Amino acid sequence: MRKILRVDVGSGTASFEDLPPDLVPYGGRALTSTLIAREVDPQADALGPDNKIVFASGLLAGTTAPNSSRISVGTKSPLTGGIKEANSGGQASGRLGRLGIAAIVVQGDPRGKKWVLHVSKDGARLDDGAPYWGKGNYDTADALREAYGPKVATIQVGPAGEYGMRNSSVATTDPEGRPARHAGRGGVGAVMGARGLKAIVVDDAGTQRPEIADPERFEKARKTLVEGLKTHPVTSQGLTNFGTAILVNIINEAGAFPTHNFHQGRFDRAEAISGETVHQNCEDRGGRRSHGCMTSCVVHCSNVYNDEAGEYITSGLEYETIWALGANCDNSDIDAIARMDRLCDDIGLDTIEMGDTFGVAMEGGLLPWGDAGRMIELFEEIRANTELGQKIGNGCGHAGKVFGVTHVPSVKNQGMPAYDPRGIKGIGVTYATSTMGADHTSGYAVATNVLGVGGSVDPLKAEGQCSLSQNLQEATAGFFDSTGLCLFLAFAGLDQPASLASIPEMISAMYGIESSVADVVALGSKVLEVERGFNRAAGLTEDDDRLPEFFGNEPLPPHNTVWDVPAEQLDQVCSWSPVIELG
Amino acid sequence: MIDVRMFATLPMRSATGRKEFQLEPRAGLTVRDVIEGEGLAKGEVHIIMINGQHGTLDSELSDGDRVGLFPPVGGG
Repeated sequence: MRKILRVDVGSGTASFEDLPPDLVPYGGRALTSTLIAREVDPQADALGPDNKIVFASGLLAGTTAPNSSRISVGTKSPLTGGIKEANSGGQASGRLGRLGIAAIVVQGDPRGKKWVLHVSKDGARLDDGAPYWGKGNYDTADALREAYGPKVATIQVGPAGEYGMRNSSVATTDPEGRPARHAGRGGVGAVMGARGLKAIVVDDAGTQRPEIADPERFEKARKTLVEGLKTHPVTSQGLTNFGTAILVNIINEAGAFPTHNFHQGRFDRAEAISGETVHQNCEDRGGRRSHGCMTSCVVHCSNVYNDEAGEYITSGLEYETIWALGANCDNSDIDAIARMDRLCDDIGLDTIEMGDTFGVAMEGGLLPWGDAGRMIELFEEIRANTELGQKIGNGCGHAGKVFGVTHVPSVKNQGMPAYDPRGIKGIGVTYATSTMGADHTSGYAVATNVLGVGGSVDPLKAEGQCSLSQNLQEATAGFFDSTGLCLFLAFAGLDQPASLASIPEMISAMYGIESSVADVVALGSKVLEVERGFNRAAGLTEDDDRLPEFFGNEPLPPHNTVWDVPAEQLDQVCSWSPVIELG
Repeated sequence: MIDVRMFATLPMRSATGRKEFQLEPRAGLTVRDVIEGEGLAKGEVHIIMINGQHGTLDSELSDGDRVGLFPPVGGG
């Protein structure tokens, strides 16, 4: 029986309780969003004492299922003002699965106290977190391993989260113990920091894999999925060889690679920051490509990136980061981008939001376009919590106000990822209508618009994008975000019905229930409904499901298209239904 | 001239190893001709972009076109 671990940072207590019966088949985002909707007043101040933060493992966490260790971090977002689920790879979720923990709910007013939560087979307790407060994520991870043992996985916040910055992430450690995997979006780190919680230490020593009701059935489904992943060219070759940055060239070629703060759709120096270049540098400098961010991974899209002298800079140098701190800022220095990725990981900043912020700040004249040296210096302003650091540590929307810039690429105050919605309109629908704000993962229409996966819908036309996005949003919430499975399994799942069906089959086998593809989609739909209900009660309306004005007015070169998906169609995606009864 | 770019694994798998080259335009020249000219096996090319828009093996190319050829790719 999976448990909820409830932690009160006011009283300094941690206790286990049973999952409510109706939440037994819930994991990941389904669990975080349902618990937040039931337990947090939508009107609460996101950084005040009434907000809570939930860390949920996936339904298949700790099992032998491939790529099954995504962790979901849910809360009311201080960035968007709505509900938030940000998820990340790393080791923590698999360990929580072995400990039988479905979710950790952190609540209460710490009244200045700083904590570290320690979880093991012997129970859970809050320890003094003061010795770690103020440290960067890399030093924190090292110090926690020294104190608690070399094999623990950790979940932690960096200085940005401690300061309550609205761009702040929650870090998790990878198989080598590096805090390089982040639940980045929506300022979740600030909520953890506001609870006075520096870190969660997860020690799974002496535990077993979770119990499976029907091991034979589980193994059969697991093998089907692994076979699918190992034969699909995207999950077995493209991502494995080149990482996610393989997208640089194709999105650039498609004319939808946001450049110079979303003024252009192509970057003339894209080759210098491409997946091919990253791949070559990893090979030449003794780094690694085909690295897994969790031990259960079979795709291996991650990498280890070294400098020219062969010294480690960062791990998981990804497409979104390379775009955000590269093309969006007119910067083609890939080594400088890697250093900034490390700084984001260490200070605890979302790389997408940071790149959008720099783009806006460059437009506002704070620093010259493409000045990577100055960008690197400015990270230290954030780390030191200076006034300048605060101006650029609270997201691109905040920077737009500070620097008098209206050309701000955000939805619900969350910065846009690496696809211009005028060039890939399906992802524009997801940006507009996702409960999360501008988010690419919640309905990755790029797959169908550009990559030829899951069919084909013309990226430059408005037609067909709303139904594409809605279907993907429901499927993503159900199959991936709520199971704790990596979204990249969707590349196989969209093309291979057997791979997709193996997911409910594994859930059925594990829990002794009967779950089908349709049930999982229905769960995804229900999760979105709960989230929309929360957002509505928090004060978000149809007007928040719109892209910024300039996308409709300024044609994007090279295709010179504008954003033209009608508002009434967007409202059908979200089906702004009356507030539903929560809990 | 026609600009051709080969991405990711394609240059490693072609007979010429070329990443970027130009072709003289000629009547009836198709994407299929370009791929065969590089000695790429059938099915290696998954995505064809012509001037930033999806093309097919049978798309005819004309002077000034920019062609991008990709194996299966994904990410995000």
